[in-house]
Amino acid sequence: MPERFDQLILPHMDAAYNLARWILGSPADADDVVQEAFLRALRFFDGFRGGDSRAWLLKIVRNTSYSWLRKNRPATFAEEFDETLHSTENTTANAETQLLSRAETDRLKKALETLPLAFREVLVLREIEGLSYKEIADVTGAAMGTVMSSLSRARQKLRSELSATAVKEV
Amino acid sequence: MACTLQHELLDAYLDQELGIERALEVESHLASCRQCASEVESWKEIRAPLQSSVLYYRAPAQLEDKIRKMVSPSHAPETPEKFPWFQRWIWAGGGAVFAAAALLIAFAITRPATISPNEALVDNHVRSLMPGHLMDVISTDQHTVKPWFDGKLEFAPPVQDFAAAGYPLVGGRLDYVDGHQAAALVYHRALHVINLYIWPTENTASSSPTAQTIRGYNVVSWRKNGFEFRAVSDLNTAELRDFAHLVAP
Repeated sequence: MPERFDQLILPHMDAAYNLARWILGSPADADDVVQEAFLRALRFFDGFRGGDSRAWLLKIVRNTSYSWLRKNRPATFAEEFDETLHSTENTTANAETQLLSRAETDRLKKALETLPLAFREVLVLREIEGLSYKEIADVTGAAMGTVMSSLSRARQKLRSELSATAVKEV
Repeated sequence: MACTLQHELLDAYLDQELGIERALEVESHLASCRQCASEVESWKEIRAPLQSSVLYYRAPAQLEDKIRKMVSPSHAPETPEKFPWFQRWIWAGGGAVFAAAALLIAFAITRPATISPNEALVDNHVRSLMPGHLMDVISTDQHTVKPWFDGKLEFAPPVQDFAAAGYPLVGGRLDYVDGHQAAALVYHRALHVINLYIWPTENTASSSPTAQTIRGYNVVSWRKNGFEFRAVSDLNTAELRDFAHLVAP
């Protein structure tokens, strides 16, 4: 293993796992995919020209996850993508949406899990992993403008998902 | 009055992706548009729990071990190019004897170089310093931190605050050390972070603190009252030893 791989790529193992776990929704599948992704990263490491090593690794993790989905869950995959084409209804901000307790964090987790893949992914990269628009564009291969608009729609969708579950609980 | 602001600008504003001029424009808009202002506020409320460590899936320790072994050259069985002349013998029809010999030698050479437990701790310490990984419970109060571990660990780690001596307790988290659960307590010393790892041991004999330096980090180890203790930090050895004496006088 090149020594630089050790220093540049291995420290992002949690980021890799977090992304795969959110894309795939299952710990066992994330486990497999992350291993595969690290093998690929090692194989392609010669082609890494410096720069943002986390975004570089996450791009590989994302590609590996998508290949895995295409192979193992083709149906869900197609469905997820159709869904992103539908525009989300414009929900107004709900001032009551206060998320403080553990139960509410769980509710948030559920809502995020049920979002279509493209929305879930962009929110995970931005809010949970803390990537910039530029980095998200690098990872997903989308243009910066696309990143911005999918984030905007993802947030609206998550808000409406949250207010829907809030209504159910009342 | 209908709001004409392009909705995506609110998101870019929230993400601090706007240049100063656009950001100021959005801010003055927010001052006059209640709907946009409440949307920004409501997202901030969602964002806080979204960014809490609960929603961050950290790589399980076992997976990390597996990957480290997988990518480490000393473990990789799929690197026959290291032994080209053995291969040539085999190709030349050297037969099973040579193959077996080559395998044996290859095995002897590629035997896993074991990572010492303290090195693994230093890795763990470095990883804990990455954003969002250091603490699961944030508190300077030992009476908050100690009960937090209840039900999460099979043992009750001793938790004390040493703020008076200049080593304030700032929080704790669950961790895995050498294949078992451990409590990791987080202390500060000025700008340095100290991770104090505690896990139970069958060995009841106490041992006094010994220091080791690994890749620039100091590790002080000791055993007391049926617990193993490891303090890991970039703090100098002398102060880290002082800290050890506070924990186990």
